[in-house]
Amino acid sequence: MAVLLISNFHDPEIWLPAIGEHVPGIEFRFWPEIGDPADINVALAYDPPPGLLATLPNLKAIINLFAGVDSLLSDPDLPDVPIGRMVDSAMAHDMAQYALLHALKYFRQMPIVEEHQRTHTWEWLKAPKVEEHTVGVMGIGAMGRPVAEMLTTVGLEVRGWSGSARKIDGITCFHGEAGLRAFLGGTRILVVVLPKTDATIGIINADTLAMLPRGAYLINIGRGEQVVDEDLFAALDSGQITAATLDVFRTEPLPADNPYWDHPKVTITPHHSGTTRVATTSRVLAANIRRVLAGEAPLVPVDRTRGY
Amino acid sequence: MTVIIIAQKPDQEAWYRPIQALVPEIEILKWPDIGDPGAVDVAVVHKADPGILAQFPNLKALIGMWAGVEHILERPDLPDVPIARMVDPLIARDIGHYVVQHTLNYFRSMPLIQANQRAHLWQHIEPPPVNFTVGLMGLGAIGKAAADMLMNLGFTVRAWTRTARSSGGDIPIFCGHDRLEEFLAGTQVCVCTLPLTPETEAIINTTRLYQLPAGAYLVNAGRGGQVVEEDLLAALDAGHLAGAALDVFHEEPPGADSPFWDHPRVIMTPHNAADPRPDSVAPAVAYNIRRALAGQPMRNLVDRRRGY
Repeated sequence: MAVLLISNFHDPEIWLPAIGEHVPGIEFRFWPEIGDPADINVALAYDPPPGLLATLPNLKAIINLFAGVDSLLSDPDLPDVPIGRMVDSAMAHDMAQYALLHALKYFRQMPIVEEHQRTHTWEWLKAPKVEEHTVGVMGIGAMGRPVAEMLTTVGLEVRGWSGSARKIDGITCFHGEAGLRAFLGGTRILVVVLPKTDATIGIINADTLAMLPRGAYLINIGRGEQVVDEDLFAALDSGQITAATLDVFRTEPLPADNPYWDHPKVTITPHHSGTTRVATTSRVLAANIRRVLAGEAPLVPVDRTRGY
Repeated sequence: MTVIIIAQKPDQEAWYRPIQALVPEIEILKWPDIGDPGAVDVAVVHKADPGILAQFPNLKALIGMWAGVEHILERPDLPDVPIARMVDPLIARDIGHYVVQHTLNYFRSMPLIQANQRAHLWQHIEPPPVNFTVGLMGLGAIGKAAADMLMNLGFTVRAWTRTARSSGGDIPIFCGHDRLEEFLAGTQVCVCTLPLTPETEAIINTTRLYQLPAGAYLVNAGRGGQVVEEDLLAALDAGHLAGAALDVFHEEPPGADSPFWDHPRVIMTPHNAADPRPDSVAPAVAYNIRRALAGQPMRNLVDRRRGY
């Protein structure tokens, strides 16, 4: 009986002792030092090489080390075992903080204020009204809901959209394709926190950007593939979108010659909206290992047909 | 019984209309139409040129539209009448937003990330620390609003106040100049929302800045006179302070040669942390007009000895 960690991101010397502390007696291995593949019952995986998981005959479950399982589900040989994904409340909290920071920067016209500082211009700006700057959170599930809720704690107007109907106190909720136009039509600052699925790839495109009121702002902390980059460039150039903050991209790290880098209306952050913390994450991973070894379903199970 | 509103055009109408609507039975004059100056009982002041206040010999009360009153208290034409200042929840919320935005901007490493963007550098950013203390200098209505927002975001909050207060809720309070050093020593982002009084003038000086831990950040949404600007620049340039967000300055607008404009670690904003809105402050003004005309004490009276 052993647990296998597969990741290019997680340092085994830090993570294995941190998780092991909460599940004493469990043997851990670190890919590619698998040993006997038949020993492995649980895989903790981040972006595993396609086909690798299919070589583990006694695998009981896969725990995806991040919230997004799109890369895992794209493995054509993915074994038919339960999958859990990491929804770490500390990570959701960090994403909510990130969204709040950038929404406030746009709400308070920081791009103009920063430009004024560069040109030594002292110009008092009339404060925008909260009721004219509704923040629309696209994706109000495990990750998006805490984002929407945190935005309301400072008194911002918040609405939410999700694929299927949801209800959250204090937040006007829209859903499905039918609700998209109404949702975007009243959104001044759009925050995308969607999981990457077939239905959400390319969802931020010329059509949906045009549904926003002119001069809207975009903050993307979902996945890079959700944005059609050419369409966003066009919307920035036409003034339909005033400015965008992007934490995720189709290719990461963002190549040095990508035009986003020097775009004056784009703020780039290196996929750090939700950060992984060893202390909190290892505790959740250990709990998941105990559940799976006891024959229970993992926390936050993945529905393969929905894609998250 | 007459009331006069003294503001500058074109704002005058905007201040007048919502207040007059709430006290239709009272005649409100608009500067410079002063009617019979001896009949004016109450002056509602937004901006008044020097000497204007001395023209009303029978004034009974003065209602200010600002949270800070230091500029009015030092006027030679100030009549010896009760003065009320503006305590408006929207002002407190706006300044709370300012404090949250600039605290998060520093906490989430945005100065580094923005420099990396200019260099096309994609660099992993360490997760923000779990325990992080924001120290608020001043815990009036404004400081309290900022404290509530910061605590909702997971920050540890402490406060320094000049005089003892019965309760700060969950917030540890350090009271008086004797405890300022202890307060600063455990503060990572120092936020000033103090009123400017002889006691708070130049309170942020070399000695106090070096009582903050190395790498601390300063947010000043109080008054420019509280910061010794050359001391702040020296502490920034010596690398003791990580940076500063400043909304207020000794001289406003700051001179074109002010070193803050081009300072790489200073964010300057044009004294617009809060923007009092006529429709929001009108009810409090109307209430105080009625109280003053009835000979009753107004709400939010200024204590001239304390200076706020």
